[in-house]
Amino acid sequence: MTLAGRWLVAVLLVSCPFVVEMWLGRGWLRILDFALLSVLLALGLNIVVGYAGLLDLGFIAFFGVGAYVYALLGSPQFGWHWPLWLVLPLGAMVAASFGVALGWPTLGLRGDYLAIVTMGFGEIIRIFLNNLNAPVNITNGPQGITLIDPLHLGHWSFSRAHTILGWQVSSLTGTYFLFLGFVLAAVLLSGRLEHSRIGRAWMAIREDELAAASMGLDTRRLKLLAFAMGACFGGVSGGLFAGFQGFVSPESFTLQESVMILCMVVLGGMGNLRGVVVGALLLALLPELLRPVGHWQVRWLGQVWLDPAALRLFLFGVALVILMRWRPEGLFPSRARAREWHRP
Amino acid sequence: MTALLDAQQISKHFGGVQALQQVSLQVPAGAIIGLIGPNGAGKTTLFNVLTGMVRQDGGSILWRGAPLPVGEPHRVAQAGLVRTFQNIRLFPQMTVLENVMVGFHVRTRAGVLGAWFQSAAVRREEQEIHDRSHEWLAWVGLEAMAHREAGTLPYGAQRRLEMARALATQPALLALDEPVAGMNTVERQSMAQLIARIRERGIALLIIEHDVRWIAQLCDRITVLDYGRCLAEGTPAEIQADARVIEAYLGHKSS
Ligand SMILES: Nc1ncnc2c1ncn2[C@@H]1O[C@H](COP(=O)(O)OP(=O)(O)OP(=O)(O)O)[C@@H](O)[C@H]1O
Ligand SMILES: [Mg+2]
Repeated sequence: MTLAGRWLVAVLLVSCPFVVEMWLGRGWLRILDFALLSVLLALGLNIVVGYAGLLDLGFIAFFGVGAYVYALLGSPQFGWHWPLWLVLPLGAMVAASFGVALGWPTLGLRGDYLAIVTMGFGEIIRIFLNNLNAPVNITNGPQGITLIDPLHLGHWSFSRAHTILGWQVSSLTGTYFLFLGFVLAAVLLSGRLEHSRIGRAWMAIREDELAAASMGLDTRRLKLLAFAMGACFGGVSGGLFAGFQGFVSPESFTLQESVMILCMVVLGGMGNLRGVVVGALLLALLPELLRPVGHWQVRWLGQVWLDPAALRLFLFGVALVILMRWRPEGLFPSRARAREWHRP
Repeated sequence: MTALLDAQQISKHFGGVQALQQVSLQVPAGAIIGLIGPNGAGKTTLFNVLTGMVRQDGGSILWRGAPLPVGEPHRVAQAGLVRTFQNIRLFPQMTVLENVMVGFHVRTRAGVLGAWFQSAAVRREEQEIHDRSHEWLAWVGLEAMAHREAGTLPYGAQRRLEMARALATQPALLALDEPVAGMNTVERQSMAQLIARIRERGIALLIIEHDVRWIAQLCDRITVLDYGRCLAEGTPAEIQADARVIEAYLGHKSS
């Protein structure tokens, strides 16, 4: 990107929350904040699927683990109120160890087989969260955990408005910048990994695992590292989610969510950072754009003909199909995928 | 004198097929050893066993006098025994340069934190990997193709790239599985020259090939496999004169 281009992006990113809040309202800014968490999540999955080529259909589990770590350590559930700077890294570490726990038994699996096992793993985590309320109540079961401490750093709370240099900065705007910081850091760290010795090793494994091993790559360790690293990003995103929403329950971490994140990565272009970011934003915002379908029916057809919730999902599905028909390799494919799909 | 590689009495069967029966093979440091035999004789299987990709049923493999790890190809490569494949196995969607850079993985150190924080040492190492990969490419004559995707190279260039990638791991023994299969006379001669240059660097080679005349000009010694058994072992001249070899191998080639 040129210098002018960089400045343009920076100005856009900084002015975005103010513009959105002013023109579209708080509801949309809130949606945007959640979308940033999706981006973080997709960046994590990109390491596993995009770089190392390990098809993971249970990725939301790590998001759930991160969220519950935050919720348990910062809520009336146990009466603990640990600070953010401690809870987030801890959540990331716990998620990473779950990543290793998932990776370990699946080291020999690839492709479809791996996808099925990871899917099962995701469900196991969700079911555990759902049932760890007896005999000892840890997770509060299906009711979930409420009254989670809002995101705060020292005395700075992200749930309150602040006045900075005479500017009124709302809580949602503050949260936007917090999340944006995490996303930018994740992009930077992913990019550096991609162009490093480790990143090349992951891609070599993705391309030909046996050849990689024959070059002296410890494929088992490298694959575990990819799982752990991806899970780490997921765990951080989950922690932020818990603090932002103030409430977590197992139903936020279903298979459908895992599929959604995979769609974000695939649609954007596996292994391509720009693609993953755009794909995640697009898929996080699209369902919200389709929210007023009931309203549109009344306006143009006089009454509600089709159940708005169902129609919204249907349109979302149609949009996905069209996008993937149009660009099967993703919006911004990595070199590799582009070639795969446009072979002469 | 202990050999670099000393494989004793290797046996391996797949179901009812006895792919290897008590095959022994020595490779002294810096030597070129040929491995010949008809189709299905067990040559590739022997490579697979030596490089830890297939577990042998019996027999021992010593590397510089100590046992080689079994079933762990990456540790065999780390020890300095690296192979190429009969059906070329590159990282087809990575660039030619990146393929060679992966070869340096085993002799370099940078980890995740190194990549993230880009310390001076890590940047220096990365630069060195980059420069030396270019050097290897120039050395095998692929410099002009450095930024092409490996999968798009012509066949002969892919073979050379596979060798450059293996050389980047700094092996003491390079095992080549049919490096000139499907090549014409000119290409075969240029490959023979490349192999001679590899040996000049002090790297030993173990080469599978069907063409006895081609391999005889290169090798110090030749081992002949037939139906998984070691049929003969000797200098190229001895092998070319051996009646059993002529019958079992040369014989039915000309018929
Ligand atoms: N993984 C395997 N599973 C079952 N049988 C195998 C396997 N690998 C090799 N074989 C069998 O072992 C025998 C030896 O095969 P190998 O590939 O080692 O022969 P080769 O000497 O390399 O032959 P070629 O000159 O055709 O490459 C063959 O009968 C082959 O079918
Ligand atoms: Mg063979």
